[in-house]
Amino acid sequence: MSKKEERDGRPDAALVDAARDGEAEAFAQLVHRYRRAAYSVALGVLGRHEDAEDAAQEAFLVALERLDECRDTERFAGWFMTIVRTRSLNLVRRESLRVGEPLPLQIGSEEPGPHEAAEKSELRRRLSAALVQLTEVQRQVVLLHDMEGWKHREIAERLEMPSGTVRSHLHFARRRLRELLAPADEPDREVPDTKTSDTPDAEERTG
Amino acid sequence: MNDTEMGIDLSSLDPAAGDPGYWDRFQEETLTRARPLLEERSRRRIPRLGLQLVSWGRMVAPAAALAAGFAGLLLLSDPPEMEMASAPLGELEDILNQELARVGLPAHFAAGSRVGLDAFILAIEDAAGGEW
Repeated sequence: MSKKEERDGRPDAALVDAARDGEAEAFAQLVHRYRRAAYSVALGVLGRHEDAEDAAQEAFLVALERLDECRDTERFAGWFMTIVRTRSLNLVRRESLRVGEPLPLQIGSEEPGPHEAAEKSELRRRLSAALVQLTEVQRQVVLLHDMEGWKHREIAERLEMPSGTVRSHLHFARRRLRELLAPADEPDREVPDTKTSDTPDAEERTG
Repeated sequence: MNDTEMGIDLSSLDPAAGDPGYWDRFQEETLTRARPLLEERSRRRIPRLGLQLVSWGRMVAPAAALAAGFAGLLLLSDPPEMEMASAPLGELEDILNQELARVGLPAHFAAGSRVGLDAFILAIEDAAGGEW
């Protein structure tokens, strides 16, 4: 059982079994546990908030429909993340066919807001512009790690890739983001990592 | 590769950054959309439970019937173990009967014999040492 499961109660496998029998509370717990990760992965693929939200929600419904196909219920997270990626890629293809060109990465709402929201909006715009420069897998990894606080090991398990590959993607994603986000006069500016509580990655190597 | 590098602050990309109720709404919307599927799963569960009981019954019922039949047969037949168990008692009874037949009752104890009765009383008095 992961720390997440310990904190939230029943392990994934038990929740999946109960959800298979239509227990709404069990499914609600699964949604609560993976909603942010689903959104991050979808955002990494789609790049647009509204699409990521749709893809994440759809992925939960598809997962519920196909729950009987999840044979190893202890590895629900990996199975579910595959669904999120597939749904997101389907959306990209569908939109590309409709529009005739790749989607621009546009994270967050562009609605005009009050002054205090304007700064956040500007930061979001800059981040969005920077993220679009990354590869899809780099976006997923950096969003899951630096936005959701997942560990290398968790990302590796759930995106089904070696842990070393996760580290590599994370490293290059961060380096690229720093280059893109740094103003011309501050080439090496580092943004403090509040989400991951500034924990150096080296501490995770034991996990 | 530097493993001690700091993370990038991406918290502004969290939809809840400017909308604290975002994730609650996401949860609610997802569950609303999932409700028909969950209800469908609940409905399917009941027949599944019934099928499980039937399949369990299919396996257990013949075994129970077989066991009951066997028990009935045992009850109706004379089990050899029972004969063996009663043999010592039967033998004892036979020995007692044979002994009685061999010794026989004294003639003066025969029914209706007045002499026999007097003799019996005298015999008791003798046995008591004449203290009566």
